[in-house]
Amino acid sequence: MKISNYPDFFAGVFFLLFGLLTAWLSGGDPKELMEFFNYQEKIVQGYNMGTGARMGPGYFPYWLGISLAVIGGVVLLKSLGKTKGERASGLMRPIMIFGAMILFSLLVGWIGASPNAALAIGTVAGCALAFFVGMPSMGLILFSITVFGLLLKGVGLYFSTAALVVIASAASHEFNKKNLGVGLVVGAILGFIALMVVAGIHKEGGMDAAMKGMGQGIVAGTAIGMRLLVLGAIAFLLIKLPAALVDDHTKQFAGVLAFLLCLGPWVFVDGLKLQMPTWPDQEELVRMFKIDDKRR
Amino acid sequence: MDAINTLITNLSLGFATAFTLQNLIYCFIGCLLGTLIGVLPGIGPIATIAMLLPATYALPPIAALIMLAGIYYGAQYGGSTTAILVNLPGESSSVVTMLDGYQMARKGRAGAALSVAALGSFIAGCFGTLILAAFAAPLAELAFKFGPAEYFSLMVLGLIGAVVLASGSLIKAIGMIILGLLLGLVGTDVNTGTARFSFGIPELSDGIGFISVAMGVFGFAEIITNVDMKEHRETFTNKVEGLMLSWKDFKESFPAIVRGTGIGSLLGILPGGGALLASFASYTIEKKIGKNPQPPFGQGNIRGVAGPESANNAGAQTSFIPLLTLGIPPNAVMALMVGAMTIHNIQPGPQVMTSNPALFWGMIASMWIGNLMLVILNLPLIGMWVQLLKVPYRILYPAILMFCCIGVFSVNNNSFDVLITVIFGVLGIVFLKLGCEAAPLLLGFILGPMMEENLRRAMLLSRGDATVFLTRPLSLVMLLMALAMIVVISLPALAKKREETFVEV
Repeated sequence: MKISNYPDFFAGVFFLLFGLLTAWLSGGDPKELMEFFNYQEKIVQGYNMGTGARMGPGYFPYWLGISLAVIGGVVLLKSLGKTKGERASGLMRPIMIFGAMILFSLLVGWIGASPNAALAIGTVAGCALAFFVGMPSMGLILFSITVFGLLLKGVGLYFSTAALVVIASAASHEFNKKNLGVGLVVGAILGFIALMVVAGIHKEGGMDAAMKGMGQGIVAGTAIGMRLLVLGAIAFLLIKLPAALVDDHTKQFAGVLAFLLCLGPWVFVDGLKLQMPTWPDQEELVRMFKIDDKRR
Repeated sequence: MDAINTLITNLSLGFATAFTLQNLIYCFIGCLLGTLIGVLPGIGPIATIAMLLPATYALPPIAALIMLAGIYYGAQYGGSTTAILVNLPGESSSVVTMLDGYQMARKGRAGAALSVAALGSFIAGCFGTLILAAFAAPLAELAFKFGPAEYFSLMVLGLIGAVVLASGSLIKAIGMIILGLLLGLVGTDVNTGTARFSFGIPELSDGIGFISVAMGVFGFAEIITNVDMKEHRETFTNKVEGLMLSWKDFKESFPAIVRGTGIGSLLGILPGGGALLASFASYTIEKKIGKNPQPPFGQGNIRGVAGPESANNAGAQTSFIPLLTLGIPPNAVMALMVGAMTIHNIQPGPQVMTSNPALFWGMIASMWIGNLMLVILNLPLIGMWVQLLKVPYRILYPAILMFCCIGVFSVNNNSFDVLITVIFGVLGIVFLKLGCEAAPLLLGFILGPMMEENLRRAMLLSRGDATVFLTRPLSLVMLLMALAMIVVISLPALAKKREETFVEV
């Protein structure tokens, strides 16, 4: 027996393991589970299966888990054959990264970190692993998202957007390391100025107030439209203007950065009224860097 | 006569609601934003809707729904623009448009291809809206007769239908459904208050956010794959001219539009149907009809764009029917709509029509308006979308990522959601590599809690007697249909044919 279809083989293994794990977690004896997990009540609790007429919380997931395991088994068996199939390159790497994220989170959680901290550490570890197994762009993009998520509450939209754009841009194979510094500085400064200017126009113009009589839709529509229009013009200028200073890639990078720095706080927080911190919040920062997470 | 009168009354209520200035503007913004994001290569309607959802948070429910419908149509139309001009399908249903549309663009007829796509979409959209309005009321009546057992069987039928009619491996797709159902169960169990699979994480006791799943599996995974691809796409962005269709083109494409509309409307209503199947079916039929088409199909025949595009849009329109009348999403995009509605405190289902008729009919009317706006908006603005396609990907993706991240964060103002999305992004890439389709996962994810709830209720009412699903006639019929679908599709002869159909086109 040889593996004739590698993707199917791994899919089968994945379904089988996931199904069995779920069935075990939802149908297993609570006491045994607790013993296995070192009495970490936080991590696992058994669920009551109940009866057909009065289903407990474990009933439906248990049978779903069993069905998934059966399907996984069938997929697995069907992937075996007489001839050895071709093994596509890069098949295992994402699986390893995913596994690392989950296992590492569980491990850190087991040692005693708060569940949220454990998840964060596990995710970062997965991103780091992506580098070692030769998927740097995936690692960078995922890392940029993670950083954005972790920073946003503490340092606000402006700085976390900058971090996101810089880290994510580095993932592109066309990325030019040499000019990152120049692009970053130019972009950040221009973005900040642009944000101040557009915010100024917006506040003084009193557009919202003037339009109020004409219905909410017009206000929102014009406000968003005007924002997009001004932003577009700024982005255009930013990309065209500093041409003499630096090369194309730096210029474009600076333009994108400035555009997004201006766009985020202005359109999302001011225009769409999303609840989001724009600038660093001292209390939240203190809370973020406390090792012992007392909030939970 | 009576039915027609009611229909007219209802529709006029709908138009009265949708034609307020405020709602018209939201519809317009929705279409514009939807097209803007949908036109970006590699981003399908699912990622687009997930990304733009935050834009509707601050709105009143009806305006939000109208804007969402606009976003949906915009995203679909944007997808076909990308397919025609860049040969990159934003979603699976524009794969078919790509075949002839891109060839037309290569021959310098990109303008004609875009126009016929817009025209076909508009005609199909109008017809689809009418069907939706006509069928909604009677189907909702039927839905009130449904008990929990019928709902459960209906969901089984819908889920099975969704995978049987889609491409790819059947058994793996069923596996993905179950995986989705399980993921949907994470969180507090409503009946007992037990936090299931939350592993001590407080955020998980509210369940995994559907935005996180959709954005991770469809958004992030796509972006990562695209960035890794060495950029070399051939775009025909300089040659978009001649938007007016010649009389010959019109004569040739009009019957195809009519046929596509018919097929699309029919297939859209089926559980698991919708846009994808409709466009495949329409293309196959166009290929069979008429001897010696000039130019041949696959080399830029205008009917190969007109038919699938109309079918696609008609299917998209009529797939709202099961959602709005029964509360069951027939495909992944509609599953996302359920999530979006829930955010605005609307539980889709037959009760919406009776308890909030203005909202229901207003939304239907706005669909028609949305379709009209797409035509008015997109043909003159095509130059702008083309400019957007010229922007290199390395500049676009940081912006897309930022939109995604802000969207995910703003659902609950929570960093945790962003981390979960990262994990789902990795999972999305794993699925891509393993050849597992992610759409059934999203469908299962949304249906998971509903399915469990109805199963529990049905079993409680029957005192634990599982035969209740077989003794109630409606439920039995639906389960038999689901079984028949699996059996028919597994027959060796048909399975081969099915594979061929999806490979061929």
